[in-house]
Amino acid sequence: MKHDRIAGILLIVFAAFIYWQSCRLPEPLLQDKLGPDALPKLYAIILGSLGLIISAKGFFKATEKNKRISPDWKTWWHDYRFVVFSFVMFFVYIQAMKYAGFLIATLLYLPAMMLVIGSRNKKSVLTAVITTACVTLGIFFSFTYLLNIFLPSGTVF
Amino acid sequence: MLDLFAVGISQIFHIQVLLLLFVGTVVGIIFGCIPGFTIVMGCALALPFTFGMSSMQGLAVMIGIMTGGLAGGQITGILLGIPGTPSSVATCFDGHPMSENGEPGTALATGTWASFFGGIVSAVVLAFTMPYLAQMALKFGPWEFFSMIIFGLTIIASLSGKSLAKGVAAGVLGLIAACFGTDPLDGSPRFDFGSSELAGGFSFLPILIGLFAFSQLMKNLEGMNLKNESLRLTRNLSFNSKNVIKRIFCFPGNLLRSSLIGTFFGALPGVGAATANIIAYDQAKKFSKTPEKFGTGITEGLVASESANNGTGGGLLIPTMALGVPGDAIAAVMMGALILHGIQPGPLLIVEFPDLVYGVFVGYFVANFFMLGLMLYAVRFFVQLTRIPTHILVPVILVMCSIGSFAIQNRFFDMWVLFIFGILGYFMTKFGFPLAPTILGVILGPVGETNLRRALVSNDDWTLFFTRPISATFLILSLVSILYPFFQEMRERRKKAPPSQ
Repeated sequence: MKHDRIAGILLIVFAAFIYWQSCRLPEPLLQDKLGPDALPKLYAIILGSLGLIISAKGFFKATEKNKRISPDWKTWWHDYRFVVFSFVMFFVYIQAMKYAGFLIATLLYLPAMMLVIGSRNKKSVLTAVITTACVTLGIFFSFTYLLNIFLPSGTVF
Repeated sequence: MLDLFAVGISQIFHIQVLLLLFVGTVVGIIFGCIPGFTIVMGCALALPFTFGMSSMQGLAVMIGIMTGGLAGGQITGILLGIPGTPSSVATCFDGHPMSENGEPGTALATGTWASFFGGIVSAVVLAFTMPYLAQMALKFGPWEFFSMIIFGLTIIASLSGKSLAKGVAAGVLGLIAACFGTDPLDGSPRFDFGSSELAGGFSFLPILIGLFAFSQLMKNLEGMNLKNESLRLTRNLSFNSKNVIKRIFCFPGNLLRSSLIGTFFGALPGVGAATANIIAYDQAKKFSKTPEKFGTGITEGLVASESANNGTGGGLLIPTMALGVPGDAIAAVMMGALILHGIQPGPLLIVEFPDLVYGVFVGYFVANFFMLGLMLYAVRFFVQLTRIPTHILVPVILVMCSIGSFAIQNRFFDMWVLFIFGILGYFMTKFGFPLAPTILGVILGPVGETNLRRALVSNDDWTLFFTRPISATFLILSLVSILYPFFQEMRERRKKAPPSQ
């Protein structure tokens, strides 16, 4: 399994990083036998060895079956394009909320997402706009006036 | 005991609490019945809404969602053959054929009544075992707690995924995530990288929403999952409850056995509703006089699966409230809800907040009645909701995810935590890692570390972990749970070996 090899190696790298960082933690207090670094180190060692096992298994299985799946980018893109779009757009959304606040960011983000994922004809634009307005204003008013929960307010507006 | 129940009843029978319990049940059924949406997701997203409420009100919402969700999965399971949640997989085996045979109403009514009875049985078991378990656990010292947490973590790591290594790795990832921030004992910051926000550590809620809501939403957006199969509801949906109840009680043994299987496996850490319904179905088949009819739309099979999955509800709450060790991801969210309201689950819970504990018992009991009523009288409404297209639903829920994460502490950093753990969760599922061990690691990590180090401060003798009987038992059980998958794999290999050669 190609997946297992990648996952295993990533785990090893991450474990090594955590171990390195744990070494830089301060010395424990006198009566504390373990100190703040003991458990993170232990976790890193366990995680690293598991990463080794997982990637080794991946290599072993790959040679055993000797099956190479040629990556077909077209079908991959077809299957995963919305996931990629959503990752990017969510990133932008959080950034936008930082500057423009919840109301404006959401009013832009929701219809954009709906139209990217869904179809783009007159009817779907209309439903996107209506649901956006209802949902955004609904959340805004219920959170601020009913539930007394703060929503992100922007730094610019 | 009875006076405590009276206290519980007085906690629940407030108009506000009842209303919230009802709303929770509605939300639960919605998240249960839409395929690709899970109960954990519903709980995680509803949690931020409860910040402003009292702890009893917040818990009422959670209990409602859990009860409704466990039952709601059967709607699409029966009508479409696609389980709404993993906890109703076995429901499809008989529920869908029964509905295809022209009896969708009967099938839904059977499933609903079975869920109801399963829930009630488990509520009774919960109310009578949890206090005793808590009383036992009151004698625990830090040694026992530490070993118990090790047991909880190992059993969920070994049972929740297909690969033991991946399960344990997922758990350790959660433990590491919990290390970020202030050290639980001496208060020094860990892994802060000079950032004041990282020094505060990751909050539990954004991690939870990221792992269980965000990543699942991304999965719903994959090309192959986008084809919406819309539900067509037949005109006549006659429930015929009287007949249905009669048919269910033709096999009282089946009903009781399945409910108890559900409760038992719910209480066992690591196995939740997703496993319990299949085990109960298998057992029902084994004990049945007509096993060959299973899978053709038989009442027994449907009853077994549905009573078992709602039975897990009460079971889940037993270790969560009595020991502070959640059995699976749903229980982990329930525990998170308690912690958010400033209540540390554990054996002291029933001593310090008996009103809350008995309130939960009564609330769970009442939630089952709400579920019954909603499923029987409002099923059309829920079916309509499953027709909302993915491209509308997913963005809206994503917005809920982000504000839910923000609301806990009003910091933007938590939205980034949500995003990062969402991506992590997505890739973990893609790479075949289970997510439940991670969230348990996040919750139990600090508790385990505190107890371990506290034990060593009070007495620096390491061997106490192995010589104190209860602690030793937990450690032996952990070892067994780690080794068990190896034995199982070996046995399966031996079985498989002859035909392949």
